Amino acid sequence: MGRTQIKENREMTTVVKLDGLIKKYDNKAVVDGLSLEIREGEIFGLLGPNGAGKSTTMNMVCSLLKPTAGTIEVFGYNNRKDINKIKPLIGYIPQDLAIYDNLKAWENVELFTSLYGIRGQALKDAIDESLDFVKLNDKRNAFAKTFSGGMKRRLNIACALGHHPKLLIFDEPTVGIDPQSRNFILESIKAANKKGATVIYTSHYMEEVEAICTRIAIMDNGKIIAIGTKEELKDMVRKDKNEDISLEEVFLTLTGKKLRDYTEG
Amino acid sequence: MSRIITLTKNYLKLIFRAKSVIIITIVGALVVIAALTNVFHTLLDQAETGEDFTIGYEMSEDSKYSYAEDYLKEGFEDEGLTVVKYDNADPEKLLRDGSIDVFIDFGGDDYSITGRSNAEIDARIVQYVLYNVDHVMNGDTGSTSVNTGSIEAAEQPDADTYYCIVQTVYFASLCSVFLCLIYITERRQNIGIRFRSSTASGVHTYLGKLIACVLTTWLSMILITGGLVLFLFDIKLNHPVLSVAIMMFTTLAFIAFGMLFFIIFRNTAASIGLLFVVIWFWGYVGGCFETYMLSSVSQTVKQMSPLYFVNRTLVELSVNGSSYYLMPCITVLTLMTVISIGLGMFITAKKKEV
Repeated sequence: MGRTQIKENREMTTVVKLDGLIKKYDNKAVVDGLSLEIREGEIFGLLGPNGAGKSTTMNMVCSLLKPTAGTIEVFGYNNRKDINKIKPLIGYIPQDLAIYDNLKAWENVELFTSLYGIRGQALKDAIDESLDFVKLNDKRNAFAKTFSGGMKRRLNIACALGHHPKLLIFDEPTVGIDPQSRNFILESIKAANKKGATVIYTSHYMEEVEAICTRIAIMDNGKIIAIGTKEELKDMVRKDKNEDISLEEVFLTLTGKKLRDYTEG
Repeated sequence: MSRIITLTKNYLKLIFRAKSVIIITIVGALVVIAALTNVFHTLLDQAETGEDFTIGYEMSEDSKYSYAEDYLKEGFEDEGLTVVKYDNADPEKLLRDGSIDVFIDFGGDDYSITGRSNAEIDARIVQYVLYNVDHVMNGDTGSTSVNTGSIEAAEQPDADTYYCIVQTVYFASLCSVFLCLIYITERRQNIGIRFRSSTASGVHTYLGKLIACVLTTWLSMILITGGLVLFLFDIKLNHPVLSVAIMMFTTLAFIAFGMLFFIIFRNTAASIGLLFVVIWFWGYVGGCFETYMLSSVSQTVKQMSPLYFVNRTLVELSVNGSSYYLMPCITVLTLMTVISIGLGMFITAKKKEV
């Protein structure tokens, strides 16, 4: 794909545009008429209780799921017609680790990068850069099965970076890891954003979202119930201007305190 | 194409890193071959001795021998021969497929004896018995016209040749087990999401798995196990290139067939279990345990098994240098391969949501 074409498509600086997006399973809408725009250079936080439809939305943006209705545009490309133009532009970091335990760190990155058609010296450079980025280059020859939880999470990220995506989608990347690894991952996300990548970040950890996201949307029951910067969201629920309020309080006020028992499928 | 090569390389790494599975498969095949060869040695040797053989005959209504039919049967049975009467039989077919060793066609005033080319002694015994009967009945045997002939029929293989060939084929057909190494890893480690979010298509991942598994089986079962078996048991193949080519084709067909199970069923254990049952059944009726020559399974049931065609072709090629089953075997394997790959790719593409 020509770089010029991408630039032309970025003129509106909208990276992701969702319009009336619906996803139904057995006639039950998991995502219900979602409309949203994410702009270039943002770290966009997507918050919501379990079963709110965050992962389903992200899966549709990544072309892993077919919407029941509505349109998705990524960098100006329609994700039904231009799927092969969209995929190289996205780096998806799934919530569950998706790495081969029986491959070495560099072999994992090599495999998943070469699936995008990258070869030769460019591939070698991509492996080095990706492993450097997550500080695993000194462990490149170790098998993934010997890694700690935090190292596996970092390798999971490296595997999505090799093809130099313009849009990074992190689906709860810090689940079950130690504070050092969490901090490292958050710093890495900010660094990737500084390098020019637009980031979509979903998490249950409010302090993480508060720390790195430039704009936040709160989803519930398949719909966006609030969107804005963290200060704009806080203003929505503040009773007076001087009230000190956390993002968690905003979240609980908007989505309620009732437990959300949720089963997949 | 480059994505298929990349994926094939990756799957080969994963399979070869599970060395224990490959070693167990190779050693297991050798042990089973040695055991079956040993156990069935006596049985197959007995079948070859000529001490007990089967005579088929047909008696025309106006034959001068018809009134002595019971006496003839008695005479043959006293010599330890099994006698089967046929009506409108095709002696050539019966002799070729080994149902009988000698066929006697009693005409009006004559009879003709046709035997398998490798059953000369049997034919001579029959001729001797008939001569005696004729002598008692007619006194002067010079008035009876006797025709003798022979049919090029299948040689019977010895136990070493038979089991070395069919068990190498059987274990090669079971090698779709290598696929479970790939599928279990991919499903447990959630790898599918990476493939689906990349620009690699379902066809790329399908072909990557198929090629890796086929290459591994060719190397481990056809070359290593097959080579060791030929060397250790001193088996001579009449047509080594053709025989190896058929084994390689069989591997491709069975792995493509095995992949269908893994694609259709999400549950890997269910896939493996069902696949084993199907291949075991085909092996059972196709002569992988009980030889197809001595098996009591009907011909119709035998022909339900692709392994019957493969075994019969390879054994006959090895023993006789040719086989009437060659073309049916290639046809069956081609159908199996084309249908399995076509269906496999279709289902893989359908399962990919977008």
